Amino acid sequence: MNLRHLIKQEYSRRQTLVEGCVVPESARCVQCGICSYACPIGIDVRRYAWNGEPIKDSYCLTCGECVARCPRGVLRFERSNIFELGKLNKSWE
Amino acid sequence: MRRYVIIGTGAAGIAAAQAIRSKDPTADILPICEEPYGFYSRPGLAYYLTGEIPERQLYPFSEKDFRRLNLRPLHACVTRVDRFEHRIELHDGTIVPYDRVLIATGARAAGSKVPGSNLEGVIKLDNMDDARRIVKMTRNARSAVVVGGGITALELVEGLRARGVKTHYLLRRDRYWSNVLDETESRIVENRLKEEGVLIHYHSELAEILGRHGRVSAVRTQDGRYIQCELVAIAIGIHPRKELAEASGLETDRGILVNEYLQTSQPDIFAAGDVAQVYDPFMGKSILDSLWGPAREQGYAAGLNMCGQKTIYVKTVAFNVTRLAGLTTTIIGTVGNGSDDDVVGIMRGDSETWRQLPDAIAAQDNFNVNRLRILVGKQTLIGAIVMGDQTLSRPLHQLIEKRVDTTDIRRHLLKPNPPLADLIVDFWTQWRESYASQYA
Repeated sequence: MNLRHLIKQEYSRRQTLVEGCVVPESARCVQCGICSYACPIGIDVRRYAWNGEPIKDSYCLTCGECVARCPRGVLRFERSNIFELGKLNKSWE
Repeated sequence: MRRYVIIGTGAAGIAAAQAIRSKDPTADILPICEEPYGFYSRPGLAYYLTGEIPERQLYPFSEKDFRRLNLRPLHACVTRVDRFEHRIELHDGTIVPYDRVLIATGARAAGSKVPGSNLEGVIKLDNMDDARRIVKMTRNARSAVVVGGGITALELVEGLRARGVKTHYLLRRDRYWSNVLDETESRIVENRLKEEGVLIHYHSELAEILGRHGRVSAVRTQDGRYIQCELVAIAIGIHPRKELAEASGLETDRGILVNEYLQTSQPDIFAAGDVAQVYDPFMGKSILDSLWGPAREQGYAAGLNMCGQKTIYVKTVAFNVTRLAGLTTTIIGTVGNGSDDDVVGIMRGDSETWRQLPDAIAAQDNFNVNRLRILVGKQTLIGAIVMGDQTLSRPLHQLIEKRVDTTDIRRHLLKPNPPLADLIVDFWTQWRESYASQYA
């Protein structure tokens, strides 16, 4: 693994954290609550997983604590298109 | 106004209540719960044991959530469902009338029959009381013996070890969970346990639990060895709690027999979750399941059917996610080798369809501690085990569940040392695009 690869990997990770949102896969979830317990700002991540919805709480820092701690791999980051939407809106103006 | 009674407030019971409420906002729904704790995450008990979460974290619904659903769970024990008079009898003699009733009483851990099984210090992991008892007992225990070959046994091993108890793990045969995992996978799990300080005893079966003053002091194995311990944890399978259905004259087999609408032999009585043996119209037989996901799906379908909205429950492909010695593991479809070594009956978190002998060829790939095993069939992928990195589990789950024709990549998959991950991801991406355009 060379330096370029590492930088690229880190860039991609940070980009995902900035643009991404946490998405649950409900079929994997058993409502153990580790995600909600790990959230530093107290978002009830588990409820989103029960409802099968992305964590759309505006306070979510996308810090990745819930994703990392889930023992069953329920949560993942998915790149949202918020910046593309912004560009799109600008072009309409 | 219809009255719906739901016996049991596990995943199936709560899902049914939500389904009923979504269709009938004014319905009178009465959940009855034998345990005083209400709705909690039973699989989460394993993480409570390891100390990752406190007990209060195990409750997914707050009182406010129950109020919002207009549910007031009743803590009581149901002794009989009078199917002729449409009423339920409780332990204190109270009679509760009903229009529709759901039995979602779950399953209980099988007990051990070896001498000494009733001594204090013999434990199981079945419900909140068991977990609390284990936490309390581990404060004074120095060593423990764990018996059983599936997920729950491993949860006990990890929980006890995390609480500083010297843990001996008895395996009946030469490796862990050999009816689901292959040899390498078993060894990965065993080695990780050994690194944590767990002492694994192969080819060891419990013969007797010895006690002093009514408490466990040691165990004797069938080959005559003695292991000193204060705790003996048993996880040798589960039994559906079908006694209520039997006492009420419903048709039962290994569980309560229900049709594809989750209806028992009585049209107004439904069953769902671990206790229900559900008829699968595609397989032509009735199947027991003991996983959280299917229980929730069955409960929801039963709730809709109870409201009169006909909904067939179709069992999707076997799918279980667990953590084995710290490794997130996904088991999809048929992956077993047909033999049954350490497991006696059905383990919690186990699914029957894994036990069938697959007509498949195994192609494998190792990358660091992550591991992937895919069972390739003639036209489709039959099953897969993903250990560690879970990137591939969603593509594999979809390809296996939708029975996607994988003939195009079969040849490449079966080559020596194929780039499995790339093949699967590329194929899945293409399939997803065509699937999306097809159903757009």
